[in-house]
Amino acid sequence: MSATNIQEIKWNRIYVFILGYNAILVILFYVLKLFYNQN
Amino acid sequence: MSALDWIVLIGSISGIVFYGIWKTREKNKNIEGFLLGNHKTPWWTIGLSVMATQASAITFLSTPGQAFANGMGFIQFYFGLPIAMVIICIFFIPRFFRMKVYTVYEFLEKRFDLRTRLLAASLFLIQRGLGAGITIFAPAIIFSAILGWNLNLTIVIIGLLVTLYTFFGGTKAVSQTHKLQMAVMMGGILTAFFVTISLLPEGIGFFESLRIAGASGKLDIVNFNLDINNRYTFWSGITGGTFLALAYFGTDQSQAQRYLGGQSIAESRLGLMFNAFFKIPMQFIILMAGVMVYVFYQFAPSPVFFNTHAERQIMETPSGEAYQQLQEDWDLEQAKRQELYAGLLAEDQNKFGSEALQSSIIKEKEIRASTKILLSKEIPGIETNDTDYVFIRFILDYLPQGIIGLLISAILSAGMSSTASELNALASTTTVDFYKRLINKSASDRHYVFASKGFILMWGLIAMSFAAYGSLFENLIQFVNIIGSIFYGTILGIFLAAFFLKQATATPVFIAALISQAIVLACFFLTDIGYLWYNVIGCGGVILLSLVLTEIRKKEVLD
Repeated sequence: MSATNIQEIKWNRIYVFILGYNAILVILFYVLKLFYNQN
Repeated sequence: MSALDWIVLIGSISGIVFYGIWKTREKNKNIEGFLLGNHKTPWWTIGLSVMATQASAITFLSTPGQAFANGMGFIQFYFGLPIAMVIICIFFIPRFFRMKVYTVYEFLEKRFDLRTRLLAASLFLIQRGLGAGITIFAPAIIFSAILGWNLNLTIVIIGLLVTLYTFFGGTKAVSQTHKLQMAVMMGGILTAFFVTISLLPEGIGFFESLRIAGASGKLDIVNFNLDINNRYTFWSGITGGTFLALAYFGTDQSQAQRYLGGQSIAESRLGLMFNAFFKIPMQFIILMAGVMVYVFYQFAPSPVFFNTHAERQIMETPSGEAYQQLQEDWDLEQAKRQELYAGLLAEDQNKFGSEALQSSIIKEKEIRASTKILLSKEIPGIETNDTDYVFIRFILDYLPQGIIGLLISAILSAGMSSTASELNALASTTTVDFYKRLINKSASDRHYVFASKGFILMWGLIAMSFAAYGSLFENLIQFVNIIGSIFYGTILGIFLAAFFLKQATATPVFIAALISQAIVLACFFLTDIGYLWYNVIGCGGVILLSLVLTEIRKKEVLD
């Protein structure tokens, strides 16, 4: 990523993406637990 | 350890040290270059450096052990981290960059006054100075117990190597070596993960392992239980985890120095977003490696207690036979469980019963509890929590030659990466916040670089000395965690007051910080409140008292 591109980043989109991505990870972990955990 | 392991270990560690020195061979004549790498650090180096700073040797040794003993639930501790990263990107980084600070405590003088800056910087030096000793001591004590290495020699070698490249190359050397250290750490843990799966008995692969781990309750990854006595839940991760990550990444110079050296606000922000993207997956892989080790030990001979040194000691006492008996009971229980697992995988209801497995797990816990009672009776002062030893024992007993060297190198790299950041930050704070500000205000840049190097040596020696006397303190890691919690709350409270309480002025915030710190210390000495709550009390105290005292002061002025 070049320096010019970095300056043009729309930060709110990045923040929403990062929080959304991590929320999806949590959901996937929960699905994994539902699928396998028996205790 | 074989000759091949030693070659891999010495080759990789010395390679990292020489790389750090070689990459920074041009002399830093100005203080900005030495402390902030001339603001030339690209975002991905910042990201790797932030992650390497947080990953200490004890993280690598403890985390798989944690998953082995208690399952994957520990990952919830990191759920607040991405939220904290976003808050730091929005509110902290732009303010630090606008004021062109070398240390985050400098910002406090510009916002409040010198007293507040020195108070926060002093609290950091006490807490991190002790912490640096522990990051060296913790892996050294485990290596000395398991591999028979000389404890003091291990401490001196780790300490000297880190001090060496931090001394020569400053922040740039620390960031550059972090890249290689992260590569060794991730390479090591991924190798361990895949090799462990390959060592499982025939017919048991990754998905079968998940079924076995799940049946044993190791995959309780996300827990929405509201019980506050449960340490790791979704809720404690989102609240306490955010709070701790905010304090650690936002106000601790050992982390802040990583992103303050960025080329621009955007590069620093991207560095933290890199951390927010990879941190949870990385912890997931480390914990999953621990779960795979658990499954592996369901089928391979497993010690009833993982600390080899303690095992040898007990065998030399009259209780040796009793210990042997407990090991035999343990093996018998394991054989019973193997039949249950065969039934589980074959989906044969006659052979597998969830209740039978639960009762076997309870029996196993009882045997372990009896073993620990026996050990503490025969060996006074022994640490009966052996989770830190599980992963290293597994590595040494079962992994092939060469891989052992790689993994020990990964663990040492993790220890060195956090210690380097700590020494770097301690020296920066001592130079910028105390020496340059109070003692010698108008010396040349060259002089300050020289002073910084002197302080790196000084803190390196202090860390090594503290580590050498580490064994005198009982339960050392907990002791340092408590010290951290005692001061973090107050420091974070001061920063949050600086950012969000526009009306707050210097004197009320300073007095509020002193009172809050006194309250936290009173809680520590006089009450039984859990130490994680000290963060909340310290931070909340500073904010509330700042508001109240500012109002009182306003009224006094008006009157």
